[in-house]
Amino acid sequence: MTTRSEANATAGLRENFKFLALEVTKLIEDTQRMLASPREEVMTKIVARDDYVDNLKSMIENKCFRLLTNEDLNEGTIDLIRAINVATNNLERIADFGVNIVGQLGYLDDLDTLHRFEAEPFFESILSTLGVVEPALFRRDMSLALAICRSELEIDELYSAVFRRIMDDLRSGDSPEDLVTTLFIYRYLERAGDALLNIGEAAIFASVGEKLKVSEFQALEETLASASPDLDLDLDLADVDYQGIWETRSGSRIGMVHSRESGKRSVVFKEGRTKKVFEEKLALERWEQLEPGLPPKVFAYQENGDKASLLLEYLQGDTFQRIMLDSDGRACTNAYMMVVETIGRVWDRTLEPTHCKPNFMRQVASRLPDVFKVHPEFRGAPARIGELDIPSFDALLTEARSLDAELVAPFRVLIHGDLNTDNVIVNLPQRKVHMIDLHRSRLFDYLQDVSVFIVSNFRLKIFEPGPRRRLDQVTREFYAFAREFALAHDDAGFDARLALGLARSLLTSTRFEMDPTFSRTMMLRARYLIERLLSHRAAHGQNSWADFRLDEATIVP
Amino acid sequence: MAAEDDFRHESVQDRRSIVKYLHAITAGIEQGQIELGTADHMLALEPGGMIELEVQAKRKAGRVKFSIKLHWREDEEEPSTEVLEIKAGPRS
Repeated sequence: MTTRSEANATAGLRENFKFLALEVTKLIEDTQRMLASPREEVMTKIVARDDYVDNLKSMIENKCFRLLTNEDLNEGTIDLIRAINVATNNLERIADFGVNIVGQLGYLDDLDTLHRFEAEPFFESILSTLGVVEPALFRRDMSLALAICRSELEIDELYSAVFRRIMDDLRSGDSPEDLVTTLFIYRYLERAGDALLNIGEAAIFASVGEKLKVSEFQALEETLASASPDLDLDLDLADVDYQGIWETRSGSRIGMVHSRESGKRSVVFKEGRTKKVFEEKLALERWEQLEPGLPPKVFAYQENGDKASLLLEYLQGDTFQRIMLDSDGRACTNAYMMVVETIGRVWDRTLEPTHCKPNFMRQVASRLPDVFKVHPEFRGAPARIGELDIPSFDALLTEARSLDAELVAPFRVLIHGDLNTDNVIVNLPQRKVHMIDLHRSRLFDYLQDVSVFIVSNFRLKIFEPGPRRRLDQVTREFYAFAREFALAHDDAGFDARLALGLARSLLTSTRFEMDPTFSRTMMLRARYLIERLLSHRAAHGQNSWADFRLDEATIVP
Repeated sequence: MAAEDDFRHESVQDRRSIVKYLHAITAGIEQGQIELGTADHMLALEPGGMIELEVQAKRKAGRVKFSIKLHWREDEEEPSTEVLEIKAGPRS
C-alpha cells in the first residue's frame, strides 16, 4: 500500500471540521445574544446547534480513528490527524459551555446583576479565535497557533478582573444568589479559554510533532527576532523546521531549528532559568575569546524574567562519544588526538599558579539527598564480619569529608565543568574540536573535568567486548595524558585527588542510573576508592598523598 | 575463559580441616593465581583488578548456609581488530 497524500486523506475531515468550527462559532454568537436578552427562539436554535455539533464531532472522531488505523500515512499526517481529534473534542466542549451558560440564565432573578459586568470582551476574544482554528490547524500556521494560545491568557485576565469585582459585590451583601450565578457564567467563559489553549497546543503539535509549552515557543520566536541581522540568519517561525525539542537533565530545553531552505544556517535554541542561561552565555564568550570557534557562536540572547534563552550555532560534527562507539579505529584515534590536544592547549594557556580545593566530598554532599531519593538502598546499616567493622555508607562519607581539606590542586585552569564525552563535538573532515554545554565552566581543578570524562565512559552501559575495549582504552589513554600533565606541573597529589574526583562523579551519576545492578556497581566502585584513600591516610598519614597510587583497574567498569 | 572451564568440588570437613582449604584459597588470591581442577583438566584463575566480593549468611529451619563469592572480569583472549592505535603518549 502506498502512502496516501495528506490532502487526499484529510479532505473529508477538513470539510467536516470547517462546519464544526462554524457551528460552534454560531452557537457562541447565539449565547452572547441570549446573555444580552434571553429569547425563546434563540434558545431553540442553541439546542439544535448543540445536537449538530455532537453529530459532527462523532463523524470527525470516526474518520480520525479510521484513518489512523487503516491507512498508511506519513508521520506528519498522523500528527495532524491527532491534532484534529484533540481540537474537535475541545470545540465540542466550547459548545457545551455555551449551552451551560444559557442554562444558568434560568437561575437569574434579575438580569441587571449579570449586566453589571462586561461579557463582550470575552466573546470577542473567543469568537475571533474560533475564526482561525481551521487554518491554524490545516495550514500548520505557527503564528495563528500561537495567537490561539494567547487568547487563553487574555480571557484569564478578563476573568480575574470580573472575579474580583463579583467578590467585592458579594462582600457588600447585595443579591448574592444572582452574583453566584453570574460567577458561574463567567467561569464557563474562562473554561472556554482553556479549551482554546488545548486547541492551540494541538495546532502547534501538528506543525512540530512534539508537545511543547507555548511559553517556549514564544521565547523561541522572540529570540529568533532578536538575533543580530548581520548574521544572515534569516529564520522565522514560519519557515523553520523543528527537529525535536527535548528536556535536559538540568531542566532546560534544547531544540534544533533547521531552516527548510537548504543552505541556510541551522541553530540550537536553549531555554532555561535566567541564571543558568546567562552563565552559559558568559562562559561561551570567554571560551570564544580563548579559542575562537571552539564553542558554538552566540546568535542571540534574550531574557524574560526568570527565564532566558540562547540561540546558538549548530555545530557540524559528531560527539566524541558517537565516534568512539561508531567509527573505525583510525577515525577514533584521530578524534582522540584532536580532543586531548585541544584540552591540553586550553589547560596550558589558562593555567594559574593559584591553589585550588576541588572539595569533591562537599560536592557529593550536595547531591546526596538526590542520590538517596533514587537509591534508598545505598544507605545501608553498619556491618561486622568477625573482627572487621564495616561502616555504613553514610558514616564512610562523613569520615571522608576531611579529605577535602587535604587534597588541594597546586594550580587551576579553565575547565569545561561538565566534560562528558558527548559534550565534545569533533568535526573530523575539518579537523575541528568544539565544546558545548559550557555553563559550568570556571577556573578550577582540572581533575574535575578528568574525572567526569572518565566516568562518562565508565557509566555507558555498553558491555560488548569490542566497543567496551575501545571505551576503556580511551579512558586509560586519557588518564595517562592527564597524569603526564600532572607530572609536568608538579601535581604530586594527582592520583589521590583523581580517586576522590572519580568517587564523586560515580556517586552523583547514580541518580541518573535506574538499573539496580549497574548503579550498585558504580556506588561500590566509589566506595572502594574512598576506602582506599582513608586506609592510605590511616597507614601513612596526612602528608603522604604523593605516595598514593591509583590502580588503573579502578577507572574502567 | 571458555564455557567448559568449569570446576566443582564438594566434601565434608570439620572446623579445623576447613581452614586448610581457606588458607589455600587466600594464598592463591594473595599471589594472584589459584590453580584448581582435576588431573585431566586444570584451571588457572588469576584474580586481579576490581573483584566483587559477596558474603552471604542464611539460617533457615536449623540449616545454615554461609557463602563467599568473588566475581571479576578477565580480558577476552582475542583482541578485537578495531582498537585504538595510540602508540606514544598524546603529548610529545
